[in-house]
Amino acid sequence: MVLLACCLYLLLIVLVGYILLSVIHPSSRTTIIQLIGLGPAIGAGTMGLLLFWASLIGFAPSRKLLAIIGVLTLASLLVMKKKRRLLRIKIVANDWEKGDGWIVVPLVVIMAGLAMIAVGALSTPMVEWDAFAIWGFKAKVLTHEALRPTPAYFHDLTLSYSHLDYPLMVPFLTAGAYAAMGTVDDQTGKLVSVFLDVLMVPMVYLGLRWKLRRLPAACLSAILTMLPVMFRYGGVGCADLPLAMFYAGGILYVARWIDRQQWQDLFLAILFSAFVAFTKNEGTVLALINGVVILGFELWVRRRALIGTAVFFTGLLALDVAWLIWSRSLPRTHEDYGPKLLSSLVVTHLPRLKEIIPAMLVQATEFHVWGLLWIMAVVLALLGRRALTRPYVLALWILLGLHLMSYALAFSVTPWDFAVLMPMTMDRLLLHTVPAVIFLAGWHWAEVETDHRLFGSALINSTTETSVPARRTD
Amino acid sequence: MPPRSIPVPETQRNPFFPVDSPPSRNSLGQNGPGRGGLARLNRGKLETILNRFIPADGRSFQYAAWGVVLLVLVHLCWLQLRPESELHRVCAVATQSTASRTALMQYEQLDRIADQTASGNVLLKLAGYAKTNPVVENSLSFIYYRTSYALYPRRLYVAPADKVINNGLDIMRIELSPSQQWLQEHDVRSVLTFGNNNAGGEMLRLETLPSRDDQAGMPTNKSGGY
Repeated sequence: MVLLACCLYLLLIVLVGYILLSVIHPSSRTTIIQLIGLGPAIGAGTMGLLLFWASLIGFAPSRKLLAIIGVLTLASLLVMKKKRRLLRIKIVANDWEKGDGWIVVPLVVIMAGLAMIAVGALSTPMVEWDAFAIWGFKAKVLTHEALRPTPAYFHDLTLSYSHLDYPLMVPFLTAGAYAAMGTVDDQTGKLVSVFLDVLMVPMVYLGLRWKLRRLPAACLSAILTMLPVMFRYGGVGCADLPLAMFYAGGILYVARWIDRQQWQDLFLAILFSAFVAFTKNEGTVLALINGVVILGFELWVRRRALIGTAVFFTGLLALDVAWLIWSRSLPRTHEDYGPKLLSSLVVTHLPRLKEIIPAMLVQATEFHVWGLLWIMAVVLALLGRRALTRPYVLALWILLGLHLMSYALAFSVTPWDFAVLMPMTMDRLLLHTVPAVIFLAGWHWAEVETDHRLFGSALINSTTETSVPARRTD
Repeated sequence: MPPRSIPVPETQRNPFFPVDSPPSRNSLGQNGPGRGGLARLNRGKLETILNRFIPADGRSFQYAAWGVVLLVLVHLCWLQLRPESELHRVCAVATQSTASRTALMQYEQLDRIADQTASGNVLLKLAGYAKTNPVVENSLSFIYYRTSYALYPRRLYVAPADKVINNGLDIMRIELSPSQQWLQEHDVRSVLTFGNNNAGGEMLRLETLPSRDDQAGMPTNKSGGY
């Protein structure tokens, strides 16, 4: 019964995502993989924000609240169906190419990997330190009390170890599951964590498929699934994989906006960036970096009015302003990287980068953690180096560079012993960058594949050129 | 100029994966027939419209890319097959192996404390070397974090609410010694003592305080929590 309630809650999340996608792309067609990747990701982020806003006005997550959201969702579904504005699912894709049948192999690897992550996660209660001390604890607090009035927990310095100021996306989503189940059962509640973490794979596949054929995209997704860090952090209840998942959506749609200038892409970039900022503190920096890159490319490449940048920052602020205001008064730990990164401390600690950057490189090449992922990315980037002339690829390189630089700077101002902290946290932090690394590998690879496709398209074009005029003269 | 493709109706377009425009750089077109009129060899055969020239470096780059990706995938699968891999750890947890049961025991022990102290809050006291020995810092942190989590919405007190606790060392530094009145005001009904036993190992002992009626005959109206 408890499991069923949790599954119904996840179904509600999927429906919320489907509605939002239909609002952004009315009457469009979508494939199943897009629907199972993008819809639930947007639904999860939206549900987290909705529960937060409801809690702010005094309603803690409860079955009644979820029922209201459910009724509103179903009503929206009916209205949109009547107006034929719902996203339609394209069951059969007709763009299969020769050799795509081999997709079964990476697909089996992906399914096996994800199944193992799910089984491993659901067979134990919350045991990861950060999971229960930070995220699980907050979920319990949010289940018991609404944010108005502010629960005493958020000002109790003896619980400072649980980082009172951390964003509440994952805790609210978990609290929603507890509310649906009617009990705080952290073992079943980890289903939410599994759901969020597993979504990373279809999200990354989605980004790869934008430019890459089906089979190579599936192979790169299989590589993502088999990464030891995915098994290490998948389904444990931490916020790192959800952050990486939302971040994957954020950078994908920033790149697409830069490439195509379609408003739908910008809206999705805003949504995902807002979710990232509400998932972890570093997410705020990543969301701002997304905005800065959009600004940079609007100034440099497009040389047009900064409407996109203005819309991006307005949307981001609108979605996260409640959190920014509410969290302003929360006590910070001695870490509190935000103000430190904006102070002169960064400049005085710059020499530490000489130790930090090599240490980061060493961590990135730990074979038992990353396999040959980073080396593969470099090799594919070299093979498809011509992709660097494409603005969206260049934008992604800049995003990745700024992302890594922000983490390096955070390490430079950390109050902890850097030598102790880095081995403990580096794999998790680099995990956030994995979507960008895999997108880059895939989009560079797509450039290599282009030669092959050019051969085919040149053939088709030349055939068309000779046949069409004949028909027209007829 | 004839249209090269049939326009796709708006409703039929896939918003997520629009058909990309053909790449601007077409090295094949430059090398093909009609451009300079130079016939080239493709795998030993003369280039025709059906047997286009594919640059050797393009093909080898493609093979190289595939080779690298497959190598990485196989390497990752091999990594997961090793006995110390994350996959094996997940399997051990999923199959409830002895090692994983042992690892879970310390969690269950602390979770049971929440059940044993059915009502009221708990005070964590340090005894013996746990008061000063930084070696136990990790265990102390774990006990505090886990028990606080398991007890919520009840509390495990280690310090007054205005003292910052980030880890076990902070608990050692503060070492709360509350008065009877403080205990009553904070509805503390049990004491969890962390210290060393006679054998020199770490020890955790839970004691239930006598009820307030027994102590002073003045029940408090404070409820659990903050």
